[in-house]
This record gives sequence, C-alpha cells and structure tokens, in this order.
Amino acid sequence: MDSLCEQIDKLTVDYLEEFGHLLACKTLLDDTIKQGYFNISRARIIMGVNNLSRLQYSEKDPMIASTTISITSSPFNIEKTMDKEHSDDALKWFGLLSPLALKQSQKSFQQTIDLSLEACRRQENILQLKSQIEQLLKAKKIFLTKENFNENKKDE
Amino acid sequence: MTSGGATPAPTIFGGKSKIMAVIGDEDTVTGFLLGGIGELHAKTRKPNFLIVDKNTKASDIDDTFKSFLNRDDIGIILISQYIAEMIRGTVEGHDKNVPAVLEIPSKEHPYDPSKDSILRRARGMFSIEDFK
Repeated sequence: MDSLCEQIDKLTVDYLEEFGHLLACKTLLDDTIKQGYFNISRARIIMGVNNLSRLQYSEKDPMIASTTISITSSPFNIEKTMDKEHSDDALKWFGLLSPLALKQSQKSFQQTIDLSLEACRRQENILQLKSQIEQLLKAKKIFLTKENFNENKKDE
Repeated sequence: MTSGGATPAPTIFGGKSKIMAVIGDEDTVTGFLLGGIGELHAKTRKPNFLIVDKNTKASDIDDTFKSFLNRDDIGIILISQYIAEMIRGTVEGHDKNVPAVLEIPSKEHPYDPSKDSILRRARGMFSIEDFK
C-alpha cells in the first residue's frame, strides 16, 4: 500500500512538472507566433497589400511539404525532418527578392513549428501520466475498500 | 536522406513520415506555409490547409477537420483556438493521439488555456477522496 502511495506521489509530481513545462512552452509559442504575425504585417507594408496573400500561393508545381514529421503512437514521439533544398520554395511564391521582414517571419514560424512539436509531446505525456495516476488511484480505492470490509468483518 | 519524391524518405526512428495540417486565418496559414508545411496531395490535389475568414461556415470547417482526421498522411493538425471553439464538439470528440491536435493563438485572439480541449482533459483528476 505504501509503495502504491509512493508511486502515486511520484507520478503526481511528474504530472504537475510536465503541466508547468507545457504552459511555459505554450507561452513561448504565443510570443514566437506573434513575432511571425508582426513580421508578415511589416512585409505586407513593404511589398504591397495585394502581394502577400493567398493569391500568391503556387498551385502549379506539385506542392510538396519540405517540413515533414515522423510520428509514432506508442511510445509517442514526434520528430521533424526538413528538406533544406526545398525549404525556401514557399518564400519564392512572393517574389525572388523578399524583404528581410518576410524571411524573419519565416524563421519565427519555423521556430513555432518546433515549439508545436514540443507542445504535442508534452500534451501526450500529460495525458498518459494522468491515465496512469487514475489507474493507481482506482487500485488504491479498491485496496482501501477491501481493508474496510475486512476490518468491519473483524469487529462483528 | 533523399528529398521528397514518390516514396517517403526513410525516417529517423521508424515512425511513419507524415505532414502537418493547419486551419487558421490567412496570416496563420501563410506563415506556416512559409515554414514549409504546405502540400497538395499528389493524387487528390487536396490541400493540407484551410484558410478561415468571416465567410467560412462552421460546417465547412467541421468537414475539413474531419477529413484531416481521416487522412493517414497527416500527423498533426494545428488549429487556431478561436476556430476550434466553433467546432468544439468535434475537437473534443477526437481522443486518439494520432493525428495530434494543437490549439494555437491567432493574431486577434490570444491563447486561453481554460478553453483548450487537451488541457481540459488533463485537468480534473483529483477529488478530495483521493487525498485520504
């Protein structure tokens, strides 16, 4: 019983720590993506409102993602793979000489992608820890109920 | 490692090679596409992104989100939180861990942890009984 409680305690601490990390990660993601938006707006002012919009997305080439991920269910893990050769293809949709602001925005969004992967990993971790803790709590409850039952029988 | 072609590149630890999808306003989608995640499916020509503006219907967003869930080449769906709110039922209903769903802030709507589906699922674990 003691070891059960110890396990629950340890997992609970892990869970709370991971929750803290996730919230910090999401705050950083928030800040980074804001930088990205800010630089897109700056680039739009430089390039002209109509030159930085969905109308520039290229539909003619085969559009292939240069940033892909590798994801496994159990154990849960996500890794990013970047095809450096094609990573500026999307940048080129908006003109061959893009302003620095647009490149900075691209960088911010690339960082946001990394943070998103980290957030996903931590999210999944938290859900797994939660389900482990719940199982142990259930086991503890069953144990306590049995103990109570046995004690009541003894008293009779 | 070979660049993207007909066959997926060999992956680092044997996981399946997948792409990220994004549902957001124009700047959000443009930004992530700059990051290199945009793709038109080789056969169906369907995009892995959806731009949501004031004319987009919630039912269209719902259909697109569900279609992303059903595709086996999408590993993560990034969705602006205010858009996830519009289809909260469907987002909450997804309980598998692949594709992973991540709610992100948008330009006009900062991220609010109290509305996040995943965080809501992760909370609410303990009751007073458990501390006896």
